[in-house]
Amino acid sequence: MTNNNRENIYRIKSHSNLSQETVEKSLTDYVYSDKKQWNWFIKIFLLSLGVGFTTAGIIFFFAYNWADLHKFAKLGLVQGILIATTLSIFIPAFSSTTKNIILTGASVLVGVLFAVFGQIYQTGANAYDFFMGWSVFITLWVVISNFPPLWLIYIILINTTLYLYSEQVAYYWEERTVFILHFCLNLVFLIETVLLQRIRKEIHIPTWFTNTIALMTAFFATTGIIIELFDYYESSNYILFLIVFLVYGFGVYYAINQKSIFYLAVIAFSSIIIFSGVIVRMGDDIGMFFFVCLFIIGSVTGVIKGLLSLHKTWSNE
Amino acid sequence: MNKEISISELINQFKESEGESFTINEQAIIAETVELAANRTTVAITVLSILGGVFATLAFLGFLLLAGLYDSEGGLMAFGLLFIIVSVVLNKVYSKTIIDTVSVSAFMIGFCMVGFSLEELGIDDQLLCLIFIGMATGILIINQTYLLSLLSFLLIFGGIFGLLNTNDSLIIFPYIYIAVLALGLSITGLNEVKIISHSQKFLKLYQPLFLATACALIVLLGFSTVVNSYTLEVKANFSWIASIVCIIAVLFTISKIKKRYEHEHTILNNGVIYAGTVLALTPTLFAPAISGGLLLILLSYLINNKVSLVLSIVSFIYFISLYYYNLGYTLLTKSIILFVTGLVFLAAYMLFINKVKSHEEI
Repeated sequence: MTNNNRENIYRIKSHSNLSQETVEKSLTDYVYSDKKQWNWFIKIFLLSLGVGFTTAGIIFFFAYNWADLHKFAKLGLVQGILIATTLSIFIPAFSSTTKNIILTGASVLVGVLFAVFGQIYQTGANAYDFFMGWSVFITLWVVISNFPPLWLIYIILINTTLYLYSEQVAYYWEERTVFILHFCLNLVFLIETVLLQRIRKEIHIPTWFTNTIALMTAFFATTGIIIELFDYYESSNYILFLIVFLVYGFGVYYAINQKSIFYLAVIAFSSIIIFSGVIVRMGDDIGMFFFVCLFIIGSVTGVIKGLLSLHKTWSNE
Repeated sequence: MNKEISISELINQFKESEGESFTINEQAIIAETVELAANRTTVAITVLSILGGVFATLAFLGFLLLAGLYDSEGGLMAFGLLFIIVSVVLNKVYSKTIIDTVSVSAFMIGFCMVGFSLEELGIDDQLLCLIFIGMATGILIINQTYLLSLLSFLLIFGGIFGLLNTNDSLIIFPYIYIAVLALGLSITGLNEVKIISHSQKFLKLYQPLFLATACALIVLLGFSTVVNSYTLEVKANFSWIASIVCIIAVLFTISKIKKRYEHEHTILNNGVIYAGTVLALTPTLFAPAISGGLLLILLSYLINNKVSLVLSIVSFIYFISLYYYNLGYTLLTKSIILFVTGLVFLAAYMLFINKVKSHEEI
């Protein structure tokens, strides 16, 4: 869990009389963040706090719902700030990261605008159409900026819209149907990201972003199946089982092709949880829990053995 | 991202810089490198080991509770100790990633069983914490592998917190504990070389110690924030002790970071940095989570520990949100405070990029 350079320095230190000064110098040169990284870090830290706090201030201002402020003044004010923020990205001195962070702030302001609109015309604070409107109207910025944090906000907004729709409009949908839809939705984003990465190599998609979507997809698959197992035991329709089985099968194939330990670990762990659920559901006696405990230890150990040998083979290639 | 350098290149560099007095056991290093190559792990594999251990422990606890086995103190104690011993011995003898899940599960199940047994025997909570701290310390002396050391340190920090928290009349202690942890984390983060040079055991324990201290501090800061918002006002009144220590630690860390690059041109002068930091953190005197969170981020980035950095950033965002949520002002006042703070940060950002630019032009 530590980086290779540090591990190597530690190993040499433990088998030699390396002086403290040399260890300090090598850690500074090869492990610690250097001056350039600190500059980048301080820049992003100050800018994120600046945009974050300013946007939060604006949100709180409208949440206060100032009675003396006329409704047109409220709407005009948000729109004014929104336009000013959006226009500021045309300042040539700003780097693309700066512009993207500002655009993310502007995207949040679109939500504020809808919220103020909802507040004035009493559309309800958690209405699904509030989140839908918000998602729809930032789509263009999300696509243009291709900024991973903004994409993540966008995906969370769409998931929220779907959830609220199932609660407020399609309340007759079964819980498992909602999970199938969430799973498919996130799967579409995951596939899109993966394809984009392959087709348009100039677009850099950070690993944390794809990993987060993969985790969200696996979460909906696992939770959905566990719900299916325990709440719909008598009337299981196995649709989610089938989809997840096929997707995981393809996922394993893709992960081996791409040499991704992460995808394999996620799929394996999700499958282990699902199988544990099946075991608990099948047997009613107390011993099943003991068996599940052994099953988890055994299967995780087996998976780790496999992953280690794959990792070793891939590292040597 | 720092550039990767091979171990042989490193050895050559060290030979050159250390001169003739340098002695090294290259054979042992090669043997260890070969051994480690077979066990080279990734974050995903380590997390899988821990999660596997946690879920297996939960299943086992479910079994214990349903089977009603927790009634037999003697059996629980005997099996609990056996599990702990097996876990430590397994890890000590076969230091391999593959048995991590087995040893993590055995370790956690063992401690749960011993805990149940002591509870059944009617042992006082404080004594139970002391026993756990003693056992975990003993394990650290015998075994210094990463995961078990991490769990042992967490157990020690948790045990100390339990000790302090069982006595309700001493409400000042959690804040003193935060202060001590913040100091401990700063000392650990800023003195890596000195600590790892102390002995082989310290060298192995350094990384788990840093991560465990960071995790304990995050949990304690979260606890203090939640406690501040839900319970007695009196508790909040002691929080400034923790805040002051955290602010001093932040200033000290900043001075160390600056010192590291002193041979180069410093970008901002000292006065602006220190005064700005104190000014920004003073309003949070009764919310140590803010200065503590900042300290965690700085130290994690400084020593380049990615796991604690991610945890620190996520908790920092949470602490800030909770801080403003709990402020006893109207939304309008809060909005003005937030907006002005945001503008100050943006101004600081502009000032910083201008300084960087003018510095680069020189």
